Amino acid sequence: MPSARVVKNRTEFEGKIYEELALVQGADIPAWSADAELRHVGRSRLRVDGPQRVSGRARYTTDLMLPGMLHARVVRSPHPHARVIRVDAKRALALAGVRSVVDRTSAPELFDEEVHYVGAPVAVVVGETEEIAADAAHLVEIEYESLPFVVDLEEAIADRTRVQRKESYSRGDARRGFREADIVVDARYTTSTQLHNCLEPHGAVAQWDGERLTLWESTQAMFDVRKGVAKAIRARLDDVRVICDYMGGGFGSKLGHGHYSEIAAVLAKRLGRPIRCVMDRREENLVTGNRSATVQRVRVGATKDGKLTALEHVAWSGTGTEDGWVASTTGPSNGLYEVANVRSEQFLVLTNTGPFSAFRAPGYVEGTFALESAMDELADKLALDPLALRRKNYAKLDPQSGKHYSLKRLDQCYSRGAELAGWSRRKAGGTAGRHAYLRRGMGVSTQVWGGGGGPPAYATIHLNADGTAIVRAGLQDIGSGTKTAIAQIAAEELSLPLERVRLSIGETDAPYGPASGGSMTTASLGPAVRLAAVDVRRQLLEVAAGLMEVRASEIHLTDGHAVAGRGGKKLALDEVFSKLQNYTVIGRGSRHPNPEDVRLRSFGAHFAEVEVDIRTGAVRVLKIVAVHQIGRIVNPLNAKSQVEGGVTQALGYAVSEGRVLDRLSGHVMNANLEDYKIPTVKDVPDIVVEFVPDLDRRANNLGGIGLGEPPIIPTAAAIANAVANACGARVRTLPITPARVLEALRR
Amino acid sequence: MLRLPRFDFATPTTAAEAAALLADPNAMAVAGGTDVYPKMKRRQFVPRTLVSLRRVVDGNISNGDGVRIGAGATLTAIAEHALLREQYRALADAASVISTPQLRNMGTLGGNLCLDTRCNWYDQSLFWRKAEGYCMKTHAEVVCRVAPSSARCLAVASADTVPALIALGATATIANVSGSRQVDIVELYREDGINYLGLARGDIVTEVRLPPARGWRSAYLKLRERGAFDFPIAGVAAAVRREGAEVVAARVAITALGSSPKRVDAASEALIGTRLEDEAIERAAEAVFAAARPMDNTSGTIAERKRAARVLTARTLRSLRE
Amino acid sequence: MRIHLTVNGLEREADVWEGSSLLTALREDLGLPGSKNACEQGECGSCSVLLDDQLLCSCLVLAAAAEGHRIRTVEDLGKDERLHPVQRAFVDAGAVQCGFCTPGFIVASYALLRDNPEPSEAEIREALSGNLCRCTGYGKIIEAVRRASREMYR
Repeated sequence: MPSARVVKNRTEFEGKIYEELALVQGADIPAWSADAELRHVGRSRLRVDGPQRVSGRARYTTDLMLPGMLHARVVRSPHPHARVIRVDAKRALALAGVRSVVDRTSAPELFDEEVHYVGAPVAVVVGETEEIAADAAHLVEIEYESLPFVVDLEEAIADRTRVQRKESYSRGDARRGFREADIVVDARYTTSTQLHNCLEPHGAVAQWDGERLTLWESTQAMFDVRKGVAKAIRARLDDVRVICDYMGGGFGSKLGHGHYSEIAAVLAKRLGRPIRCVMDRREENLVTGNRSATVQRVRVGATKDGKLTALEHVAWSGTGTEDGWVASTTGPSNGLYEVANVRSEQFLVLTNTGPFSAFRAPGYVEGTFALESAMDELADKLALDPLALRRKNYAKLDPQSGKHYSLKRLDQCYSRGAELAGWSRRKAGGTAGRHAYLRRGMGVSTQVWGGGGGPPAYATIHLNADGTAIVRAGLQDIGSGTKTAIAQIAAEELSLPLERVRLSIGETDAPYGPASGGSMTTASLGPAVRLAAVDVRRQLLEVAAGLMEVRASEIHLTDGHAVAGRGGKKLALDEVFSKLQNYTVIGRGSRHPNPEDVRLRSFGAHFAEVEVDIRTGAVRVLKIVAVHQIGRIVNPLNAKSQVEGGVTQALGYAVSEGRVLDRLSGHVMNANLEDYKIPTVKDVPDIVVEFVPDLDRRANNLGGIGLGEPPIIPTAAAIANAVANACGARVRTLPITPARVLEALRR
Repeated sequence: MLRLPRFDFATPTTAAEAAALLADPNAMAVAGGTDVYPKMKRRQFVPRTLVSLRRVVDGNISNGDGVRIGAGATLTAIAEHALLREQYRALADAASVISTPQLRNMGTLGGNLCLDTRCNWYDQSLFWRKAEGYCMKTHAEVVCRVAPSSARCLAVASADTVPALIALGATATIANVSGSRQVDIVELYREDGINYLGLARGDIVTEVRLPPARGWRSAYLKLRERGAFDFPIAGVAAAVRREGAEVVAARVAITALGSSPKRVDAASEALIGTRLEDEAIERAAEAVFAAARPMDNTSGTIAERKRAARVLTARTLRSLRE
Repeated sequence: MRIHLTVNGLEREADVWEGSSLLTALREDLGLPGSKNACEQGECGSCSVLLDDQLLCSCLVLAAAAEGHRIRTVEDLGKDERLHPVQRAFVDAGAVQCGFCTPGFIVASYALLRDNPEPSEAEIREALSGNLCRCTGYGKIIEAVRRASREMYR
């Protein structure tokens, strides 16, 4: 039996480094080499559950209908800050079909006395149908005492009680660095709140069986839901089972349990019937998380030749009512370029708006916009090509730790991207479009991110007597293709056809699996699955050795056969399996710790080409070129899809998305899909995607790290830089609306 | 979840029957429902009776002396109609840029003509409006949230087919219990966000008539944020009739630049007798700029919308040059 | 009220309030949750179905108005385990991620190719412009439609 031991591990997750202990077993194996002949890994295998999704058979949490199920609708505060004085449920309870109205008096663990944002939960109505519950929710009469509030970020920044410095970083001597500079760019950038608007709303369905709770939830993190809900309702972990078979998008907003999970769990127990608590689109836009709006100041100095001498980045991020953490907006400034003198500060700013949550590369999206815009402004002042400026300050070693990178091919991302984008066509001052009022331009931006994953992640593989395998892992598939990647990895190591590998995932009665987020799922679970498969193969080889009467060490598995190196004896695996009868071979694997001596990061570069109508300010994005480096890619088709999707979300962030608040009332003005503008198919330009093929053999035994988040990071800056190139309008606020372009043109 | 409030659903078969039902102040007409249902779900309207016009108005498009379009014609039918595309281009183009394919398959010409005016303070959920204390458009005793000292509601005209119909010189046939009458489309509208339609209770738009197209060319351009779904930030329709190269008649109409669509006669005057030279087009665009009275209570800033009025006018007219 | 309609080729009945939407009737009363309720306002297209062969948003169709009509949902396109070429194309092109928008896109794509067997890219974009996707960036979806077109009309 492989030995178990506890090791220290560093994982970069959502822009922050976590040093934790991890329990691992056995030894790790090296990553496949570049010339390894792989049958599944690296091929564009089709998504294993594609047929279920395209036929409408896939069941999401919102589709679930259990017998006797009741519906919960939450009554929410219309005030951005208030004390709840009295809740009168008389009229609501009088409506036929209403089973219960619960508020703070009957469930203090579910509701607070003071509410801090419009949409904060105050009470919940349970009805036989969702409609009845919704009608009754409007009949609940609540008396509030209004309290002072601030929703506007700039206003909140000016109020010291709302501002907390959460992170600060420095190296070298920034003050001296700026003195040494020939040119300094000092600019202020602002970004808007971005709302996830996953198509499937957040929600949960809870059902008790005695003391055992089953919770179906649309989530990226079943185990965190289990932990969170168990704690909230004071249950044991083994009494809570979370199921998530299919879920319709998360992007970071479903990384923990929700208030709706607690409501469903608590009320299902009280009422003795299953409870469904699912958000509607308005609630999605109000209460389920968002990407912080920011105000940022970037000061960057360089000598005439373009060598950076100092970089200062201060960021204020509006976290709503969340005061526990803030996304690392200054991360890119701290770690991307080779510059000796850096100073950065990250502030958390409280506003009376819905609490923020992780949203695909939190902090880095906002921060890269500011940093890469500033770099472009610097290039402009220095009369240097923007790409040349990036190259001039290329960091061969990680500037923060001094370590080597496990893999860095950013230079190739730049070259290949420039080639694909036709960067040589770019001219200072832009080029003319078809009419006098149309100007074209190109911009570039750099991406850096973590996402190497790490322990803990476990998998077991059961090899059945008929040669089919079941991979058991605590994984929820958020649609990014991890399921398929896992199957490919297992099939590769077991030398089986892909169709013979099935995944048993989607619930917490399985080995612990990581959250599906932070670009770390495949990189965390994949290596564990590979080791489980290796364990199975080892046992299989021993069985085959017995049958072939050779030593196990002389056999290798290939193409469905056990082949003895000497003498060429061959035995079909199917024959081996038939001898197994009812025997099941079980293999186990765990994710081993990350290497300590190198920094695991992914890199990329985006190039944007735009056309600006200088009479109306309208920006048309013509083309985005995205070149990324993550090491080995398990499934190229899925990888390309991830990039196209990330770029499209970034496009929305750059030109059309942004939560609009009414400062005076504290209300969100665009809490629906009509007014919160996510890109349609007609708004998306040509997206050209390529990957640098080099492997990252240090990162883990797959040879590659995560891709979920990198694609959304650099696009907005690339677009802003392209707009500036096209017509000279430097827009320092997102989204880049026509009004802002016109205003920048006037400047 | 967004569900409709309770109501009685009536399905009359004649205009007279429908008109009688609509005489009730708590009744509302519905055809495709693409505007009525979303608003009812948000409780902007809560009629006790919904009167379906499905069996009352037809959707036929026929040509004889000009073209007759039943008010029940879907926007898709209009957008794809060969004759309309060829000879009444502005209308076909306008219909084709409304919303999405799904909603164009459901929405009707009559519905677009009677489209409710829009405003960021009005097109919101019940939760939102209750918290904000409502506004003048739904509660007479409340001020306008956009401009509290405004005597009238400032909600914005947002239908795309209307300026095209105005530019094409179209008329609408209105039926009610006492009979029917024909009205110039431009006469249907009022510069008032609440009483934006000059229709009496019980009036039903049954058809639209387009005059013969001989010699006329028309176009419609819409500015919106995305390539689908969105209502106009500004919309401009233009139609010109030329003899040789000279413009002998012209109509220019705008929408989303006030509470009512408008025909800009000063723009027509600037074009008649010209050969659509740049200067003439510029003068017409200037006239539209002057006539545009946008607010910033739907999409776009006031400056942006005014500017768009001028730019769209110039582009629409240039496209008619050949 | 009791409504009678033809759904996916079968005569079906449901007891619904006449003002409930066709979408709700399909999902909650007729056992067809393939069409999704992402917004219920006609703002996303995830509830798209065919009514008398017309593509529309079922969230904005009254159950009462659907009485007597022919409805087809995403569940009707494949037969048992066999996928319709449009569905197969989406899988093969890698056009499915979380899948929540997928049923709506499948129905809209099916309707497009039925009326326009070899659409141009612009026509594909226009036909799908009423369907929102948050995951894929649409590129693979457009490819899927092209692939289906080649498959079906070679």
